[in-house]
Amino acid sequence: MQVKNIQLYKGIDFDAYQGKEGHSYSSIKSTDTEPFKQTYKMQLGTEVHNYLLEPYTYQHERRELIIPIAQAAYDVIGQALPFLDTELSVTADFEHDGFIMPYRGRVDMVRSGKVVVDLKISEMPLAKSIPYFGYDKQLTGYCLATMCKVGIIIRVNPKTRHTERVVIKQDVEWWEQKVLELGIPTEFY
Amino acid sequence: MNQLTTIQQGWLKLAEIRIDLFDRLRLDELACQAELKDFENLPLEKMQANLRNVKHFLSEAKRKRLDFTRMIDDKLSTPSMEFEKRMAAMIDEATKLELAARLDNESKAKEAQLLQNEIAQFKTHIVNEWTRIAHEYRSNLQKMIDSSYINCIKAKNPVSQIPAMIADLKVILSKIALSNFQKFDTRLISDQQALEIFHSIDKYEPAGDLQYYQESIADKFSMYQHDFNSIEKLEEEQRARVAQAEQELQSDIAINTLIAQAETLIVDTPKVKREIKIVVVESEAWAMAVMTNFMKVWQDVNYRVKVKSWAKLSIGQMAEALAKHISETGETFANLTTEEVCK
Repeated sequence: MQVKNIQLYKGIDFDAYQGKEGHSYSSIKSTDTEPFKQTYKMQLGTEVHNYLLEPYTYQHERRELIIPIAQAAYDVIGQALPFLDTELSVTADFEHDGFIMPYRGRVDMVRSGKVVVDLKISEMPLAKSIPYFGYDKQLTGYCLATMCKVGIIIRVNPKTRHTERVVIKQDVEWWEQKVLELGIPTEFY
Repeated sequence: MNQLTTIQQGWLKLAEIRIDLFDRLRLDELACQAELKDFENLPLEKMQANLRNVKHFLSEAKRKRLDFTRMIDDKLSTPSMEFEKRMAAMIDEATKLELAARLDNESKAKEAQLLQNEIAQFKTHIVNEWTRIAHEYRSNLQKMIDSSYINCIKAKNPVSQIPAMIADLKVILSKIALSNFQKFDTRLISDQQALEIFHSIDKYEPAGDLQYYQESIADKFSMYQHDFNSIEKLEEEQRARVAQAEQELQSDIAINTLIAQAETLIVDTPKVKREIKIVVVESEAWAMAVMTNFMKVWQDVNYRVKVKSWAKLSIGQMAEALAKHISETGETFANLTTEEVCK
């Protein structure tokens, strides 16, 4: 698999990112025809992300709930956070076996060329959620597009504030398969 | 017809006794009904006499029933429960052994986790040390080039000496040594294991960097004539480069540490549930202590009490609620003793 035409977008909001062309992991996995609706738990995760990674977007709601969760995440990431780009949007072309597929992703934290860090706020242990939601594939996409060798998921349990972290095993084959399924021949691109 | 066994005869007899008992109870009930017939129209004395009689019938019926059920309890229920009691005792013993094994495994898993944590710390230390040494080495090479360059300009060395200055500087760079590797104090890792871990991590090889910086000297000196008149700007650039290199080192160390911590092997620890319980002391003072403390922290414990009727709230339930409160908050009460129970 080759990754070409990498474009990094710092400081663009989620709507602007959604406007970028390309297949994201979410768009590939989504089979819903209904408009996307955020659940309460998703909203909680978004608020923690905002508080920690984009403080200027945090609406100061549910502070007693959000701040302790964000603090637990900060305890794990803290020292590295100043050196990571947060909420970085990226587009790239994934090329494999004569086919090319535009890709887009929005990474929680990244040091390009080195490490991708994704924050999950969930009660489900990573041993279950990684295979269930395919987080390893999602992070592989981020790693490919940012030329990172290592992808880390940090999970905070919103109830207990217990944290866990794992280095994901990258699944490049899955993306190669998607390029063949969703891409177009290179000569027509 | 076959001869009945002793047990079969016993069961037959029990059935006869039961039929006989029910007949007699029925008679008591009929006698009771007779006494209470048209009761409201009887004179008061007769009412009172009849009421005494029916109460006597009731107590007699109860006595006869108890005679019968006691016989069943003695001969049937109690002996049959002995099996359960013996099994429960065996299970109790086995549960204690299983808990002891689980605690033992937990203790071993904790030890193993401590070892894994130290291995992770050791790996992080090695990676960060090589990162630091590499940064320092590159920084020293760059500093040497910059300083020599500035000194040459300050000394107003003529342009004709550039080839000689470059040649000398290359030799000077080759003499710069790597800084020392800081020691890591191992507590749980054996020397053999430490050596294996050390060799498993890529070491910093300075040859490539030395060659790169030696080659960069010529580029630097290509601006020599031009930089003759801007020495202050050069010094400012050098300071900025040093500051940037320092920040890059901090960044690399922080990122390496994050990665190494995420790679730490997590040892599977058996689940041992620990609960705080209040030690029961069968005394008035203990009961008073439970009630007083329960009232004192009422706002924090009332939701922990699950009773259908507040009128039936017992001291034992108050103690349980207080124990849960202690488990979660760590608050202690001077006049109550607690114990940790493993399950």
